[in-house]
Amino acid sequence: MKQTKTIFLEGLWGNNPIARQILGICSALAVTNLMKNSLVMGLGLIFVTAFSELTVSLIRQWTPKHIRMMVQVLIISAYVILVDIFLKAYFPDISTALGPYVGLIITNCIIMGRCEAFAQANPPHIAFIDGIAMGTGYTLVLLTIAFVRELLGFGTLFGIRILGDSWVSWSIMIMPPGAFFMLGILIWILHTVKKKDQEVAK
Amino acid sequence: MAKNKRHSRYSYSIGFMVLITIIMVGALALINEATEARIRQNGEVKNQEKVLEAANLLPENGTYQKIQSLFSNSFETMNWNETILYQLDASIFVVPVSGSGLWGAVEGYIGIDFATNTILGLSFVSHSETPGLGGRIEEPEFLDQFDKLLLPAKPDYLIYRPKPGGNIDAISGATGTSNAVRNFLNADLIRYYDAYARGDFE
Repeated sequence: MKQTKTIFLEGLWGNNPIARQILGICSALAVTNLMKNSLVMGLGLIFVTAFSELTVSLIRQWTPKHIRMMVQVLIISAYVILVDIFLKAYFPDISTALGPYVGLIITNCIIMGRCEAFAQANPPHIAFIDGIAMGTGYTLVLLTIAFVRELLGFGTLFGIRILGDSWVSWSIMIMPPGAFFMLGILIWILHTVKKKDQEVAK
Repeated sequence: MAKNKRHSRYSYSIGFMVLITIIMVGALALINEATEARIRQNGEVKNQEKVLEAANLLPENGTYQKIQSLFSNSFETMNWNETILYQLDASIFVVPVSGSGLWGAVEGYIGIDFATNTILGLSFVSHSETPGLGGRIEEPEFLDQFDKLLLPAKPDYLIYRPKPGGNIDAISGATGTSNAVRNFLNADLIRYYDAYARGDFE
């Protein structure tokens, strides 16, 4: 139980994939113009990371070391295709909105990184929890960026109008540069806070 | 040690990879089979939605059932030279239009009332124009110009303002796409008008 808590704290804060490891930036920049897309992307990533880590960890004792990367990529791509099919069948609108990004979950460095760094060396249930924790950390950062971008760029949250009609949308927030600014500012803030934490701990 | 030796043999590695591939691909094939019908149906409904949009009949927030029943109640399909036409009334047809845009093929539907020389609406099914520039042909600002648009009595049917006789606005910053779209729409309109005049659609 204590271990679960530690893993979650690592994923959400101490070792957050985006803010700390600077992994998965491409998708964090691409889909964060709408809260809804970010949430679906995040859920997809949680699913894929958790189950890939579980599978990799389950077969780690039988996997020949020199082909482990191939095996990992195969497992990850199978789960990504699964998510893609699921979205196409049951949420076609979201599938169109996310476009190629669902398929690109496979190139998300977070999954590969965690499979290689964590799942290879830990038992299945812990690897599974780590996948959920890392995916959640990623999702939270995405949602934070999307919150600001959608609010300022469209005046809406999850498609519901929050700011009145007099609000002039900042179109820069919807465009890619908006994502860069937001991500930079967010990582800056998180690092400053973390530094303070460490100084206090000392 | 003996175990490690076994793992580093080529035959073991190849066998392992083949086995994993068979399991993963088998699972995906099963899931694909199970959802195929649903995905195809989603595609059909999407297409029906575009046809309804071209006839300016698309309800706001229409559910799948609503779109399907509206579609089957409104249109008679008709096969003309291997092209599927959707007949709404004696003189009103929704016809497919396509041509090359700036970057790739653009496909869509246009609703024409031949008796009153009016376009009911325009919709695009697929295109690969630059998002934010030529890609704006699928935005309401551009498409809504075609709703209930009265055409001149003879070609060219569509002319961009401020040319004399202009009846629609091009997209600023996307002259290439705008011209390409106008050209193939004009060509298709001439083709369909000729066919209607010949009595092909009776």
